[in-house]
Amino acid sequence: MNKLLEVTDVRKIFGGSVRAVDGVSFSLAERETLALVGESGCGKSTVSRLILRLTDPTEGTIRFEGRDITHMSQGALKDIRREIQFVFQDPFSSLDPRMTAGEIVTEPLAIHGKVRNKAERRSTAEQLLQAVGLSAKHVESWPRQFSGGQRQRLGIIRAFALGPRLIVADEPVSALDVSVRSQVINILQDMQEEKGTAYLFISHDMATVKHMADRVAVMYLGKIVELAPKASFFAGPQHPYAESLLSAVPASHPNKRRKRILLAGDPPSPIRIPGGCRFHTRCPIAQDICKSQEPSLQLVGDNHLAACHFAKAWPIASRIGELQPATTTLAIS
Amino acid sequence: MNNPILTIHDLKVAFGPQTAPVDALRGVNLSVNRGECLGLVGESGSGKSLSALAAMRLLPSAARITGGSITFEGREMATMPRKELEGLRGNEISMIFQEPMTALNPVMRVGDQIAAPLRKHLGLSKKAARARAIEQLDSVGIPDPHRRIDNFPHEMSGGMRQRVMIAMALACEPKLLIADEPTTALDVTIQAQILDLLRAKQKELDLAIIIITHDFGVVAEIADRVNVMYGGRVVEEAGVGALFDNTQHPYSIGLLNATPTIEMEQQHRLPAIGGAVPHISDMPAGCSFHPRCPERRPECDRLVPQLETVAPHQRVACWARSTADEQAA
Repeated sequence: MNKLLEVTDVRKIFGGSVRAVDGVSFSLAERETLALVGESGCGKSTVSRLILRLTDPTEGTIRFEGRDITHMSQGALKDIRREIQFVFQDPFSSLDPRMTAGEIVTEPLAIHGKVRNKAERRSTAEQLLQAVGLSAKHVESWPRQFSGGQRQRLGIIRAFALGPRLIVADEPVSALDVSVRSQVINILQDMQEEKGTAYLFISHDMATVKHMADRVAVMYLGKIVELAPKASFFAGPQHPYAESLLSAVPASHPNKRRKRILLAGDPPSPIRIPGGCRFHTRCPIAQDICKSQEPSLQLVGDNHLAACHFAKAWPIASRIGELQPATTTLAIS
Repeated sequence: MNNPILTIHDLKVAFGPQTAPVDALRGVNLSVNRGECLGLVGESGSGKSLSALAAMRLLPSAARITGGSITFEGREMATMPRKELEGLRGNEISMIFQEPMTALNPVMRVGDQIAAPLRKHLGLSKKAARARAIEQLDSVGIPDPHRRIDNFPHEMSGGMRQRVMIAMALACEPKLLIADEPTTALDVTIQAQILDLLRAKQKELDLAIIIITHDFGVVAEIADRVNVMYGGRVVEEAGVGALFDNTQHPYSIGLLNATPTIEMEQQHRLPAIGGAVPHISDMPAGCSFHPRCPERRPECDRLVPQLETVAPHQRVACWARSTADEQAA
């Protein structure tokens, strides 16, 4: 598979001491959906902002279609921004309240000179609105006249308007009502099927991730601690944090209330990341080695990486000596 | 088995001027038994939070009760004088909210906030209230309570703040706790901790809980019985098992189907409910769900269906499930 996006050893340190993203590497193939999951403060949204170049990384490189975009100038980025688009969580704050729906969905086309005149812009807007199940009449409506689900559709059209190859979607359905959420999930999937767009799908909701993703990356305190194909991940997460995250997902049926791996306390602050394995302060199986040595991501199954000294299913214990810590090359798709 | 501690009957709440009221609650019926956890499920605008606020008599000033009754242990609350209400709230009935940061006083130490109801309702001395507050913090699983008691809310994490809210709400050992989306703002691992804590307190204090949520996962985790709300009314009422296994109302069915689960088999499209949740100012006539309902019948846009028993302990308000003779209006 061709690598569309390649993120290598990226770090983002805010204010000199907040290690929000602390050495993250992954790649994304064409048409692929990679889910980035983790709890608040784990750095997943900062990763999305780095890829969109809304903030500059402190270290590391970001390549898109083979081109290094890490330090590309804003002018040069204009071309890249046609290819990388975004959908944000809150459809209420991410749409300009003074623009009509028609203007919102065609703004990217206008900026990039893809519509020649007002009439063309309007007819394009009508088509785009209809493509996601809104009415052509909505062209003249204001954002406030739409429900949350409808606004998120406007956000999705706008993201797809220029035919991007990658969409970064940061919690695109978390703010929506349940009955509307599934409509938007379906639209995201239909659009991907039709256009072949890749998604970096940022979410804290494991059930939605299981429905949407091809691969899953779990972040904890600024680092990816597990990266695996979806089936293998949900069949058996290898990192204790990933396992506890899955076990914390509420039951889908009262008969399925299960024993949880309850983590003690809250995640530490990204200002004071624990030494050794950053999860050791909350880990139910932490040993002495975990306090002193930081585990790197290692292969523990087919395309399945985990950063734990005791990742379990693979006979890793016997191989610990032979495996060299691999710090940079996680591009395994 | 039926031993209701709180009963809401045909409760109506409206916003706006009396000449042009907007009906937000349009005849809510629900009850919760002693020691039982009732899940109140619905989407935005369904009236679930408003029902709870009405039960606490904490409605926003623009809203007013226009009909119905709220009975707590035989006492009518809908018309209860303020003084009497104050003796009840925080003492026998307590409430916790979604965002503890906005519900806690940011300039007051958490210990003083927990001590406040103890001094007011139980008349404890400052010293005794402080000692009890430390016990309370300990009992909701806050480590190092002797030190934490002097923290301000901003010095704590979201999960800890929610524990403080629970400690404060349970300080006077109330009989009923109303929890409005208590875990929605929290991460899943913290949500699991808080749900565990609520379950433990329910047993320990024989506490009745009304938990308001939009999340069927939370319902499956903690509720004994469930009421599903839509458009300002309860449309289905069932034991938690029956709600999942013998779902009756087309809206409840749609909601459950639309909720992805981690056990679900892969790669089919999610069944969606068409349309959007109606705004309270624009509520459809008859059954509020009829424009989105796959099972709608001719009478649905004219007549409001009432809750009817369809199985033991299960009632549903739906013409497609009704056994009553269709009486044309």
